[in-house]
Amino acid sequence: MSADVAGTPPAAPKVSLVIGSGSVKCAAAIGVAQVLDEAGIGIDRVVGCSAGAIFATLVAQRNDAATARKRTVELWTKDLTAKGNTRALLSVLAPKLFGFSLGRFGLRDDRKLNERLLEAFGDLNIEDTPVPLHITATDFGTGDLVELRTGPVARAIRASLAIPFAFSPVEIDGRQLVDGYLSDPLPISVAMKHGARVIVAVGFESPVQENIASAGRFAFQLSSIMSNNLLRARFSFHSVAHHAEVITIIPEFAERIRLFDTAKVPYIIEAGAEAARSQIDYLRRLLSADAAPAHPTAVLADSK
Amino acid sequence: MVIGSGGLRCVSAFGALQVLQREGIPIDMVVACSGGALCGYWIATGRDDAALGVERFREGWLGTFDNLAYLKILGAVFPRLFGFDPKFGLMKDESVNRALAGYVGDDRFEDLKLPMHYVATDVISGDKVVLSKGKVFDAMRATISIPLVFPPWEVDGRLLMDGAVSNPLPVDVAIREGADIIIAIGYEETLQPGILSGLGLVKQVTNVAINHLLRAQYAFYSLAHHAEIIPIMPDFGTEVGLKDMHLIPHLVEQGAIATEREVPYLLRLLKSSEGASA
Amino acid sequence: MTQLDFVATHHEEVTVISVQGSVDSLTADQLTEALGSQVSTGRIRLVADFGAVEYTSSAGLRSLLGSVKESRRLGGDLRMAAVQPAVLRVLSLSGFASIIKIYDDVASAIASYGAAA
Repeated sequence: MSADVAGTPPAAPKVSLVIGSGSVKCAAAIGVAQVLDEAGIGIDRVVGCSAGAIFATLVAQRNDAATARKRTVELWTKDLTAKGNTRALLSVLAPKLFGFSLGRFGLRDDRKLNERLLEAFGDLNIEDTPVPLHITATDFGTGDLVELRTGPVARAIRASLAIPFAFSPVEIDGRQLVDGYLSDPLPISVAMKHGARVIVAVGFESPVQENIASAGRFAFQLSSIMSNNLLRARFSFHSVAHHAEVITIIPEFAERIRLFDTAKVPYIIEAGAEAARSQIDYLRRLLSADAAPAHPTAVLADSK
Repeated sequence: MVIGSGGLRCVSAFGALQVLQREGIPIDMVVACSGGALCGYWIATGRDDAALGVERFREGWLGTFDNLAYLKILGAVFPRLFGFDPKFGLMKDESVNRALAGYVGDDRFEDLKLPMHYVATDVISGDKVVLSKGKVFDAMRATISIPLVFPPWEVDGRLLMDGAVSNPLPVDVAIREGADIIIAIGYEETLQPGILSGLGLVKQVTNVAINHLLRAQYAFYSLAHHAEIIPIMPDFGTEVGLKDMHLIPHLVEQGAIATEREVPYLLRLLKSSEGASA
Repeated sequence: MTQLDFVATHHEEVTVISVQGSVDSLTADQLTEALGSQVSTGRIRLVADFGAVEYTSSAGLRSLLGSVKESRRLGGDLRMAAVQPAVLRVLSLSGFASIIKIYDDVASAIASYGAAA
């Protein structure tokens, strides 16, 4: 980015931010955004998957960290999944009798979730956020990753969060959409496709457990294992396929974070900030080398 | 040769083997995952009768899945949902253990003609595990441990299960062990455009996940390899369940057909590498 | 510092390149060159000693991969030794650990070539 006409400061260095799936741990992205902001590094695009879509939206709205934290704590509480969906249960036992319908199948009542999303984001549309926003989901019929760039934010997040079995899919444009993590838990490819150069990717591994005492736990373990392996596989591919740099932040949490540990949100945010701080020096050098007008050959050219 | 996971479809690898043997295309290493381990073993022993391999495969497979009931498994996983008692819904493994023992006997990896590697998954950490030595029985039993169907198997103090959930088409192992031209026989799962039941939902979720894992890993492995990887992905035209043994001849034939298509290029590749300096 | 330091030591059939610094987008070209210059003089059995490398980025991994492929194309290999925990984590996450042989120390890495011969 070359500098000035007299008096105009050079454009601030910018990165694209990708926030992967990870339920309440995604709040760490608030900490990452904070550190970037303090370092004078702008965010020119945000991509969010699953719970990451909530935080991607908060960042895309240019909320400060305090507001983002407040919204998180208000939105993410245990009663989101407390109520069950009896009809769905019955439809599994006798699909023909009770009319199994994929569109309505979810074991959890999603009314509370929908309410909260509306409270948090109102009728905001994706295309209207100050920073370009992309929310990802998975087409359940084809398995393809679907990128949502327009329409109500609340609906898109609900689709991105549509964990199979737990919440019913969301139909958008004739497609049944479910949780984005099924097709890619950390959708760096979306940022790449839109021409990002330096990408900061905040991702989370699913928890695996030592003690598997029941079939239910085993199934849960299985889903974590597959998700983690997919995360790594996609990340491997992106690492070698991208022409520029991907700065990965996969925070490790010393304390165990359960699905609805909202009380731990400040700790989570700080863990994200700390993980970002450990990479900020390199990021600064990278962006300033990139911006240096004296060197016409791109620093970030492919190594052969 | 890398032979990926694919349940009963893995028998089609014998069809591929028939074609390769007919063309005199030599194999110098075998890597296999899950069901692929059976043909993989056959190749590594240096046997040249693929048709006999199919017979032995069929013998071993017969009766192994007779007690398989998917609803029972789902009942164990989602007891409230499917209305069964919570219990670990796994099949007893006596019949599969007998079948495998009959197939590989006491063979050890070190006794085989070719270097062979199987991949499995660590149940606790989810990590990929590569098995290259010791008794073939233990490694094969580990890699075929379909989650929730067969109990996991312990090898060297680690509880292992199906390689498919961490590395369904383990081309990486071949790359790391110094392979040049790699033939990768892989199987993608079929997805349903419409889901009509809870069971269908479970299958779809699993299949979407496995396909993505396979593709993402394959994409990386192809960029990472210095030489050619030739994928062979037979088209069976129908869903193939674990019990559909009547389909075996068709599966073997499709494996052969898919391989025939690659033969001209393979032969050219081999010829040019012969001419190139070592 | 945007500078990588290299020291090459030649054993009988194997050359060890000890790398010091951060292997990232700003230094990747230097790594490619250092390894490439060995390969071009016929030294295709390489060990990259990463004992003094504290950071590797995705761009750094790409340049490493380029050298791995080049040495393999010529019938050799590039193996790694003494990788620090933080860097090992990146190698595992990015799948590199499954396609490259990594050893705890330089001696084992050198010996691994002998075993195959």
